[in-house]
Amino acid sequence: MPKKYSLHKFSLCFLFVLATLAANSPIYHIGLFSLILCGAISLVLIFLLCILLNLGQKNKTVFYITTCCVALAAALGAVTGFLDFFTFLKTVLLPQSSDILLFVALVLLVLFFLKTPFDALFKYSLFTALICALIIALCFISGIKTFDFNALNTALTPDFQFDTALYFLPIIVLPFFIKCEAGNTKPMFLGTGAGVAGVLLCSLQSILILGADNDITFPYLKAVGVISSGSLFTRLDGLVYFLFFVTTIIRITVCIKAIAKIVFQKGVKVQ
Amino acid sequence: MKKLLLLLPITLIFLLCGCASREIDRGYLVSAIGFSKEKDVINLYIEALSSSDTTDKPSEKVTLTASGTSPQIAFENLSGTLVKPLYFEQLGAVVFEKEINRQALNFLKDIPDINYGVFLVKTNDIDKLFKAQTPNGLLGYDIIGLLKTNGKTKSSLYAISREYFDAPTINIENGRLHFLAKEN
Repeated sequence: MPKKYSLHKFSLCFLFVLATLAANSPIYHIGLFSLILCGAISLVLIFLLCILLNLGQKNKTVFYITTCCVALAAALGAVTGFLDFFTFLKTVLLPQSSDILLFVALVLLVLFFLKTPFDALFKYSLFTALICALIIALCFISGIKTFDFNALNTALTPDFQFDTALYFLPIIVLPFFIKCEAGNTKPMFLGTGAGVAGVLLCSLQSILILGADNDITFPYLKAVGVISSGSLFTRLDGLVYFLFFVTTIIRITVCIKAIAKIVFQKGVKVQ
Repeated sequence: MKKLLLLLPITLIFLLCGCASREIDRGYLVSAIGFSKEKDVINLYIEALSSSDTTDKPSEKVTLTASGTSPQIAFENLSGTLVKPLYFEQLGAVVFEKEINRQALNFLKDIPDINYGVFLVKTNDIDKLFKAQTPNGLLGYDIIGLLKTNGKTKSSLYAISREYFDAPTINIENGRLHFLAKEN
């Protein structure tokens, strides 16, 4: 992968991390402290994994342990991503469609993305990441008038939520995927950081609109749903549908492609 | 060719990101929902538009009522009697008799298709309000109009849920909605 693809890798990592938003659990019981902690741990973990992947070139045991961890994280990312998006479709977007039809449609879509070559996936990421960033910024700015900053007092209470950590864990697939496919890791760190910042910004918006002490399903969707700008722009939640879709599909595709790499051992060339 | 193929998933995204696939002629479009409490019984009121199966007949307004020991049970009792599902995407207002019911607020938050920006108001006689003919025909949207005209748009579901402040009181007299000038 040429160096000019840095922005593409940045975009893919950004979308991959942002997929945490689509999942229900990390922000089900909104806790900013937990999100910040998990985001920071994720960045440390991918740094450690880069070192382990380099060590794995010389030591086979390290290589097998590392790839096993990556495979487990990728399986977790793919399964949770699929189930969460299926739940989202079933409860919010297409509640009256049959489960089988939705399942088949989603599987076909994932298969389509799996068939696309890596460079196409990177180009797709670049294009959609820009739209996603614009959506997050637009929703945040439009929602400012509805913010209640008193909610921050409760939201910053130190606590650690295990389910939040679980949803951040698949991020360790990124060093493996990016290293296997691209070599240069700097955009990966920047993209992951930007993704964590994006998740924090969206969660902050949910807290400031809905309050910290709540157990709402898909809080970001509900928070954006109350935003209106005059009578022309109302209910911007349609934009969040797009965000959920794009990010989840990237996460599932990357995770499955990473598993395929590990299983078939093709192209696992750590640089 | 590859670039053209890339357009396919992008198109699919836009196709899948439309509004919920609900056929409005096959359900009740809820415009207002109301709750009153008598001892341990919750009375549920729903004002909805029921689309006709033929295009030449206009949609008709229906007022549905049910009771139960909780808002959830009252809702289940009501849904059990209906031939069409209830759609809450277009819900305009939630009305409480005399005081806001926390149990009902929690019930509303669990409805997947409800918008958290829906307005909350109180009234002294909910039965009278739901049975009356309001100026524009639909209570839910008439309440929105009245609140917006008077600049009282803070009493939405999300705002009241996070702060639990009081909602304005609206009553109906001689077919006209008006705010209660002074709380009793």
